[in-house]
Amino acid sequence: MSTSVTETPTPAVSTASTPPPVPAPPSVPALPPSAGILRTAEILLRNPSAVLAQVQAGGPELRELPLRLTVCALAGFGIFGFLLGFTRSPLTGLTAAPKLMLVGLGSLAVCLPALHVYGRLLGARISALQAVCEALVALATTGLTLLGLAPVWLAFANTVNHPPTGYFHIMLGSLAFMGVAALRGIWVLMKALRAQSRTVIHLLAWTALYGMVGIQMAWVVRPFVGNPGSASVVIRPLESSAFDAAATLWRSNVDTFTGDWRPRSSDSDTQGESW
Amino acid sequence: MQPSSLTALGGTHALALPSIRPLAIGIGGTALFGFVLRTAVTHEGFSLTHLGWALSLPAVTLLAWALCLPALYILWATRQPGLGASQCVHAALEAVHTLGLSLASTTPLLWFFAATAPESRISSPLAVLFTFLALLASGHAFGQALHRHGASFTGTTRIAFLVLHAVTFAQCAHGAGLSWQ
Repeated sequence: MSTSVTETPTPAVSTASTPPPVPAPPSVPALPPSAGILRTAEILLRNPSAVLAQVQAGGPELRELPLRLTVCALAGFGIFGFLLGFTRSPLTGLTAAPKLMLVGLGSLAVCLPALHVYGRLLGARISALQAVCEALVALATTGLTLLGLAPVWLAFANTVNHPPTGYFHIMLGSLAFMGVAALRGIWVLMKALRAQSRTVIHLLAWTALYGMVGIQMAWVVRPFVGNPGSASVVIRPLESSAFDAAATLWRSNVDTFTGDWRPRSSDSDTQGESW
Repeated sequence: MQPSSLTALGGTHALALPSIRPLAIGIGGTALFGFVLRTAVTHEGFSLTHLGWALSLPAVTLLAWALCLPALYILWATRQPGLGASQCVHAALEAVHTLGLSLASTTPLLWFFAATAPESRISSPLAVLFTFLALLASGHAFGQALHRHGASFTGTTRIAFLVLHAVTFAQCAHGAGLSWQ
């Protein structure tokens, strides 16, 4: 399959009076929805700068792009979420998939106004729709990266998911996988924006905020896997914060490596740190 | 060169707008942030105090500008050719607009942490950070607006005025009973 990045044919004879041909902006063509989504995903993988150039160029084609990018992102998050929950049971996988989709998209919704306003302040001449598209390019890239890492995740989970400490390794591993995917998403966006001579410094601060919101939102809709010692529930009540739980998770992982880990006797403690 | 002020949002230049609109947006955004700031700091449910904070923060913003602008005009603007009091007020209006937009854009973030992590201490530093960034943004917009009127608002004068404005803002907020902790 070829990409849709169109190349302007070079004229056989050029005259002095004819201006040099201006390269046409790469386009994501109007196609039936399913084909359009696949084509968008392919362009995003092969040449994400082309998608961002299309966003920068604007035009009526931009109206369909957010939906396509959202579907790409949700597919990746949904499948990885399912595989994450699947380490416990298929039913947990089915509930974890929409939760991870909500985390990805919900965090973006919370953080997007700040990205747009501070981006404008730093000189970005883009509309709100273009800002949405740019952020969705990063999110879709993250989703597609998660999709690509899914087989690796399956192998990893199969290797470490052994009681009683496998749960902690699974959770830390999932954070690492999602962190790598998110970094790739933001890297692709920054690289493309720098190619357009755009300011990207605010993206670093925004990425840190997005990460914090994402972690906290994941905490709100937890459990994705659930501690094997506790009963399966769809949503746990709100307790402490994600940052306290992340510290506990880190300590538990360190304890399992040093051999100091002991099962907790308090049920509330066990539930409180369960992702 | 196009100004990098936020007033160009939506493609309309700030100076082409009726002056009430940027002011209304600025006050509305600041009021929204004031409302959520109360939730973030106290973790209480809705009360009349929330409305008090929503009214106080825009009032503090306007008061800080009203206190600082005469000093800027007397000590600096009168020595700038072609820069009058109305241009200074217009620039301040743009700064209030930018402050409101900046604060409003971070309100969802602050509310999210206030609502989902009530026991955590993260909301308070975030509120301070967002306010600081918004003040910085409004100072930048003020400088850009003056620059469009032909004045060179740079260097020590700019830093001194922005520090004066920030200190006045903090003092007024303290006096009005607003707290970021």
